[in-house]
Amino acid sequence: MNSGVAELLANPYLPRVLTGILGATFVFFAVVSVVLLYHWKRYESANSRTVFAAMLYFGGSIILFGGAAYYLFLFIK
Amino acid sequence: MTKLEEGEKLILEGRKHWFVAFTYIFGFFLSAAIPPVIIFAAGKWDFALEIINAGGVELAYAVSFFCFVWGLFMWIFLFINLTNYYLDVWYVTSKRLVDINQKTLFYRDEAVLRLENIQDVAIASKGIIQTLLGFGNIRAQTAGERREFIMRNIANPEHVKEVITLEQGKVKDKAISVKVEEGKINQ
Repeated sequence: MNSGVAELLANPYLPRVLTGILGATFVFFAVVSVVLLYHWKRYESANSRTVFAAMLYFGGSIILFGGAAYYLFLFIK
Repeated sequence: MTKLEEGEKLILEGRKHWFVAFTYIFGFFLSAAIPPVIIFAAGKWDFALEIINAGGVELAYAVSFFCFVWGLFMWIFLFINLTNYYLDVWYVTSKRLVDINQKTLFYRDEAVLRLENIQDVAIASKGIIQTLLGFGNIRAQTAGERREFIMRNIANPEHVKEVITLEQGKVKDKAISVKVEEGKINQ
């Protein structure tokens, strides 16, 4: 089993798979973000709340996405 | 905000109790913590330690990558839930009861009930949490097509019921006075 893990990690396609996962996650994130922004703009009358929600959402997303990209970079390197 | 009719005044605007939002936030932290907790616990199992040793630093990077991706998904779902929570709103106006039910991002149901059509308003708090925190469901019964009108997990339902009853009384009084005036004119 241990050698299996080592083999899996040494697989030359693994970096591509991980990059694909990150890419698919980004696409999902982008689609959901557009839908959320549409809802916030259309149904919320207080602009300050929309700005606050957007800052919190995108701030947290950047941190999490940045963390994933950072570890992917370290893995590929 | 819903569009008001001519001469209509907004009396009360409300959302579900904050506890509902709290369960979403708590659920996010709980679910986001699952992978790190499992990894932390895995350090105590012999078979997992062997895998970790075999994988080395690359395994640590791959696992950290998946933890962040998982966290990002949970973060996205948290905001979807909070948006649904925030957009699920109801209004009591001087003429109507409007319940906007935002079930999912693509399912928005707006129900309108005229105050004069309400036959009965009942409130129900079920369980310890609802009773202690003071929230519950409001059920308005009507003679119309949509016989029951339920607003769930409403904060301070007693007060909302009082406001609905009060405004309904005003509408009925106005209708009676109009009929009396019409009767006088006809005589």
